[in-house]
Amino acid sequence: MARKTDIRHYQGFLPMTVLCMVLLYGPLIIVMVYSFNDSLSITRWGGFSLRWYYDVFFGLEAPKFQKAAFNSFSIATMAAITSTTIAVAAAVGMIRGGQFRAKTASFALISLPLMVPEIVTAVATLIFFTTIGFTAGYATILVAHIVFCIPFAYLPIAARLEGIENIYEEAAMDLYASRAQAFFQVLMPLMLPGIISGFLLAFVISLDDFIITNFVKGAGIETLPTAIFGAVKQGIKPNIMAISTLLLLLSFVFVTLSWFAGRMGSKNP
Amino acid sequence: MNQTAIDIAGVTKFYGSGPDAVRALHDIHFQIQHNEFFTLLGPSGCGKTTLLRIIGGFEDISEGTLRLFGEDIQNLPPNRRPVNTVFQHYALFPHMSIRDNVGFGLKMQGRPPEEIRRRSDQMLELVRLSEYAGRRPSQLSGGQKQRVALARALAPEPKVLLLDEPLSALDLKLRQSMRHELKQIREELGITFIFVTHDQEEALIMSDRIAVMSHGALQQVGTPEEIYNHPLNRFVADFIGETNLVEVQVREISDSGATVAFAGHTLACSVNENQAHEPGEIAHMSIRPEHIGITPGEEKGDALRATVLRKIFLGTDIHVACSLPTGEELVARVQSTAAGVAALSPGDGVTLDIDPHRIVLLGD
Amino acid sequence: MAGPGNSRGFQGVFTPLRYWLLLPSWLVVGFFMVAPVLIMLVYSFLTKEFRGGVIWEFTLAAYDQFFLDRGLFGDEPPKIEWTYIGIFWRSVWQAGLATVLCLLIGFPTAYYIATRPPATRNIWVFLVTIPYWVNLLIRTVSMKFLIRDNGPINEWLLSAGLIAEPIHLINTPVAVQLGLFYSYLPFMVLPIYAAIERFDFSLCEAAADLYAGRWFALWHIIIPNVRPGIVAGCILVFIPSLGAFLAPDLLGGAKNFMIGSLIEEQFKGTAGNWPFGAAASMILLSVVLVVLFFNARNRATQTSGAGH
Repeated sequence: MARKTDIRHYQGFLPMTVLCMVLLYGPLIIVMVYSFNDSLSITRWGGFSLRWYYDVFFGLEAPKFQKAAFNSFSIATMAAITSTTIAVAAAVGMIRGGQFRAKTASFALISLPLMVPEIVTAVATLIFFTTIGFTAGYATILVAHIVFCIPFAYLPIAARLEGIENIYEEAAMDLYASRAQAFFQVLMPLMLPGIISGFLLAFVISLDDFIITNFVKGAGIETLPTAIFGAVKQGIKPNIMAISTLLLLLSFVFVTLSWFAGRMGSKNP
Repeated sequence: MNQTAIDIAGVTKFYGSGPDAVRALHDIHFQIQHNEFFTLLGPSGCGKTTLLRIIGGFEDISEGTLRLFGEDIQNLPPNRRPVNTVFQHYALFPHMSIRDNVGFGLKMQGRPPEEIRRRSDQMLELVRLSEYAGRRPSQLSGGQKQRVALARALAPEPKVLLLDEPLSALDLKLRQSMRHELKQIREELGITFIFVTHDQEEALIMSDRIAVMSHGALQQVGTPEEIYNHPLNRFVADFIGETNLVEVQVREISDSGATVAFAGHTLACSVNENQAHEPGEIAHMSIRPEHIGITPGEEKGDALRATVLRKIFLGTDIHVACSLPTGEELVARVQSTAAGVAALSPGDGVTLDIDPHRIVLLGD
Repeated sequence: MAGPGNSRGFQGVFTPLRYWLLLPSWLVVGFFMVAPVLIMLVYSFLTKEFRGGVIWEFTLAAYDQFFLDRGLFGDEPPKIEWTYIGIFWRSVWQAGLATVLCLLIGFPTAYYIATRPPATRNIWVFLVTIPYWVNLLIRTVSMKFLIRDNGPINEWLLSAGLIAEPIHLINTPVAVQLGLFYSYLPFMVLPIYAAIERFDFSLCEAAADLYAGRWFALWHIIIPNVRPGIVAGCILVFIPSLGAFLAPDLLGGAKNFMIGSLIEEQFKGTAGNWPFGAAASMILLSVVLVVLFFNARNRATQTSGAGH
């Protein structure tokens, strides 16, 4: 009955949605399932087992993956902290800066890393570091990631700040707060959900990046994606599926955290 | 004892610059006395909020000076002015408890924690919200938030309190009781209040003095009685209360007043100080509806005769709209119990009686 | 400048600091993004050195190599070189097709989600968001695992007797397309969802009241109103698809090169040609900038049109 009267209902949109979900999740779920496969042949089901997870942590290739994971997580942490800090400052400057001449240009600049295809960024960064003689390695990856993460951190932070009226910082200053106090005691706590979302997004983007890292890393250093890529080139082995499943779960945790950060914000003003 | 709290001299405010500049305030002059309840009244867009924000330090002045107790404060940022604001939408910090909100100003002033606590609790007691000290702003009703905003602005003992349409978001009942409460609190604390509103009734009830503004310019400053009874110009007469604005021709000017020709009759009326009129000039006159008396039936002599057009019942009063033989329309407001009024119906002849002491010749 | 007074309009609490606040982002993005692209532009006009790297001598050789064929020894009259243009064309074509497929699946999904009651809607959005956050490499590897000749799909179909031979997908253009489509589908759903969620459905009620059918309302009322979301989704799918590296590399193999793989190859090992790679990157970047420019202009005319 409701369907007849619900003007917004279209026949066939639900099946399309289900299809979309199956397409999005099918491959991921199958990889997760097969990561628990006891069989050495990765396609025949040989019963449930955690042996590939054991292999990831204690097997032959474990030291390689552990080192790559350490690089990935340390770079992601530093890149996310730095880019979020830059993005918070930029968001306050843009959203609270009124109208000024460089506004459009600034926004274009901040979102540039998002607009330029990753492969182009990768090539440009490699050429740049080579030209100025900056040795490829950990530091180059970190710098490239900071730049690349800025727009991802910026967008949720700016969106949040746009939803906060400027009366709060005015009220703070009216009550004898300095600019710094108005920011750290009033505006920043109000922006916090956006800052958390921006930080998490930047962290995940850094953790996921393959192309740019692959270009600028040089020999002798691997992050998780480049290590996985190298391994996959020699064929998909079950331990890759176990690593993939672990990273999948990590992404899931991050989305959930980001989700609750957003929730925490919507309850406030 | 009559100290000047705020002295505004020649304040002009432009938004933008160059040929696109918009003038928001034009050459504003007035003084606010210490301990006064002063209201900035005008329709939206008249510049009253801009003026309040200038006093608070949130906008700069293009021209003119602003003094607080004799001291030039126009270059002080908001956090260095001993002036606090009750914001229109309260602007309570959502991430802090009510007590922390109230104590924020004191904390920023660097007062010792025990003093902050004592003073916040004292302020919450003043606005009767002591039991809500631990709650968050989102758990309070509109009227309660309003009182917290007031307590927060009063806690640091400002020399002047600014109130930006603080009652506009409340419903009628609450607004009426808050008017009372605000007045009481001001009397108790003895500080200067500058109140912004577009509600003329609110302004008349609460203020010691009112500044009426329109289009960025000051129209009149005076006590509620002065503003109501002796409006300086058409805008003030029309904006404050109800009135009949009629066109008259000036006959004679004397020291005590003037005589004017209106609808074929000669009327005596008062003239405001500093207002020049010439005999023969066409001017406007304000006649309040309650200053027009109605007698049923057409009297002889040179009384003002009229025909009833319509009658509106307002409870204790009745509005009677009448048309004069010369075509003008006048509205009279009489008590419902007045003799013969209840029986009037459209088309009836009546005699109007205008109180000459109560009508004012207006400037432009 | 010569205006009355020196007022600069409303001064917010942080307004005076705006240039200082923006300075770090200008410096970082300017120094590590804009400058590198400019240097890359310079590189594309330099002479290639063997073993990777360049000699600082100006030449148009890289662009020449991309567009023109002068024979094996470079002494024949120039003809158009179709190899690289072909790779480029294949990239545009694949990216365009991925965009269309994503739109076909993404729009109904976004619409369905946006018209759910708020509680259910949040769960759906959450479900679409997760793949968006999942490592692209892992998602591409999953797809590769799934569609291999001896992958789960073929195994199941074979054992169910539905097919006699495994369906050969890997290293075909279809596999690349599948990978692109799968990679960027969430990028299509989310912006369209955001646009539909803001759409005022009382417009549809008004249309229905005036005897419009549902599909008419969809086409003439809803779609024109949510067009910015659709355009944003298309751009978010098209641009990364165009420069994609992982899907063509892992799923397409050597025969299904796209521009991303071509560029990558120029910077790997001794066979590389840095000026040529830089030139190919510049060509890719120009296409993207043209797309973005037309989008920006389109939006500018739309908003000025709506201003009446």
